[in-house]
Amino acid sequence: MPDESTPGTEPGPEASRLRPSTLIRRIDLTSVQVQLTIGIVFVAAVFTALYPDRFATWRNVENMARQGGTLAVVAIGQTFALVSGGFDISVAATMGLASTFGAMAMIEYGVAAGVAAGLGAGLVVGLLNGTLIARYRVTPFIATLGMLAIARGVANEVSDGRSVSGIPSSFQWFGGGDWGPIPATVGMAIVVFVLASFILYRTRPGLYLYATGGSEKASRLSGVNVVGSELSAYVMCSLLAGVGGLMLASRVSVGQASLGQGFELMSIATAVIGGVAIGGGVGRLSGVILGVVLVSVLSTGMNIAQLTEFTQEIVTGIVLIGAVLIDRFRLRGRQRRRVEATLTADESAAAESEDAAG
Amino acid sequence: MRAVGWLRSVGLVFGVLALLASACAEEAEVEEAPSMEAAPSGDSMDQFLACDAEPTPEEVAAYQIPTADESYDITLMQVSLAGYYYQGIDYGAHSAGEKAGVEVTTLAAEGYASPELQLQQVEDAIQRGTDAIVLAPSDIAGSVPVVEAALEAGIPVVNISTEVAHPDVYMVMQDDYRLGIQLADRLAEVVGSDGGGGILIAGPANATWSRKRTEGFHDRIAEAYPSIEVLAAPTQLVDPVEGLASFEDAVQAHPEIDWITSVHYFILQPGAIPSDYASVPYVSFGYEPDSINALEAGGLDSVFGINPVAMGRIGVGTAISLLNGGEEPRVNCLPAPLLSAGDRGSVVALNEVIEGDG
Repeated sequence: MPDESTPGTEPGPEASRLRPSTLIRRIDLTSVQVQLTIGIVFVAAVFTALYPDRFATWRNVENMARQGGTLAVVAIGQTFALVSGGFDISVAATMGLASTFGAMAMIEYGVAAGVAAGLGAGLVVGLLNGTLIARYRVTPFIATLGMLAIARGVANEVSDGRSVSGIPSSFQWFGGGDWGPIPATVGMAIVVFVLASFILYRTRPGLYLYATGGSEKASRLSGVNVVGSELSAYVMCSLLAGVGGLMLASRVSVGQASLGQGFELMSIATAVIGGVAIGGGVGRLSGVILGVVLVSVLSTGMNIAQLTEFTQEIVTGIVLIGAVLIDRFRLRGRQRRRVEATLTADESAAAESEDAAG
Repeated sequence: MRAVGWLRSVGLVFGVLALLASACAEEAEVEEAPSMEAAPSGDSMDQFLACDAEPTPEEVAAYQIPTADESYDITLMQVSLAGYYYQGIDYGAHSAGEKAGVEVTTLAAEGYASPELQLQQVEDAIQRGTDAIVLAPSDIAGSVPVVEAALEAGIPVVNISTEVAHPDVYMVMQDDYRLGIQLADRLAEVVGSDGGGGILIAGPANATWSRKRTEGFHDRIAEAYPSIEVLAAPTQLVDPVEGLASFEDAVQAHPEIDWITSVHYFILQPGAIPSDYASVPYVSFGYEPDSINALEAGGLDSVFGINPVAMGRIGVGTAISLLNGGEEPRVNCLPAPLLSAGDRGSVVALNEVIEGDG
């Protein structure tokens, strides 16, 4: 089922009539991943041409990776919610909550307890979101909006509205430091990517998640546990937001209720840019990672170009809207191709019937 | 579908062209930094407050709360309650209220740029029958209706923290433009006659306080310190994650730096600065538990105190005095004492923090 998310790889009945070279060219140009890769290379090339000694350095690649790692983890979590047919706007508040709980527990009881507390906070938020949405049919917007307020309020309440400092330096491995030659955030993102890919593409719950997002009614009729599937999607989303919150806390050396602000929109934006359809059932993690890379390259390039935050907001908004429009075109194209394929198949069948009759 | 790929590429081309145009505009703006002699105009960021009183740090610490003639009801309108600065104001205001025997009620908005909420809150406060308002405005222009509503009801307004553009308020605040100048002077002392290049983390591009500090800093450097070069001055939200990302991107462009500064230490957490730059002197604003720890650990060279507790205390004291029929200076400019690790426990340092945090 995941393969259907990349329409360019769908062979289609007419594909057999194409020559291999034509087919390869077509697959390349219509794949989200390839389009994004072209976009990334293009944007990187422009910034490289403008700032060769500032942008095009190994040090900067490492810098972009370090910054993008946390967003990748949260966007992968958001992909679970999006694929299930919903979305989660409470991820930023969950990150703040996890960072606050994690930092407080860590200072008191050590790093392991802090990590457990941060992940536990994410887990609880996910269970609540999932129960409200899957079990009680509260719309994802309302449920996660309410949870956003609750999580931020709880984080401020327990921390007295202050930042929690004094995180032990041994916690640097979670986001602030390096794992050998690679930044810790990148290491975390790779681990999360591998685990999430396994769950989504190699397990039955992953398959059911795509099925539920594609058509909840059909899934239910097929015997899929739709409630369990949606619930697990929100648990994964919040759990990974918790991981992201701890990563940020490790990077900035404090836990704080407002940590992660902006990640709710950026995680949805990067997932959508990466080809995950709002509405569910479609999306691959490789696209999400490329979406994160595009946003990171753009963001770092704009910072190096010393653009104001306002200009950066405008550009990010344009890229997001552009991606959604392209997504629409892509879906329409896919639907049109399916109709054409069906018609072709029907015509062929009719012709065969006539031949048989004649 | 090939068209979709081209559309994506064309969109990126336009995006990058917009970036280039903005980058050029940005560079032009930097070159045209106004001089110290620039005539103040409108909401210009390069002008001093016209102070009627300028108490010393010691005088501020020794401030005596006037005794209330009656049991007044005073409303403290805050921008937020999350964050040590706001809590310091709140603590100062309430402790002054207790001492003077008046009721102080705190109302908090939802951060900067939420003046509509402050307007709603002031209407509620007027209905409640409050006698005076101590206002930390959410927006310099947007909070003007808050002042007008109070004044129409015959309620005096004491403006604290940051300016609101209304001539009939009593101001108790620091001159942020002057603070920027002080920052530049301190930096010049720290780096010595050799000067050198560095990075200013400039804070929100849409907040009066950060823009004035930045403007004062640039103007003073341009006027008095030709050997000091501001290599980058990225803007960002009051968010340590954004601050760190801005710093990391800035050092990609300018890896060799001799100093670091910011409009508030919270935005660039000293503990989060990459180890390569840990020994670079860092001067900022805000004397709070976290920055005190950083001063002692060597992550910060020195900070300027921003007087939250005194601002709340003197704000309420001014309101009581006005209600008693007393005379108060229209613009009371509070000082920004320079504090380093050795100042811990001094009268001036203790005056910067909530009791027990020094």
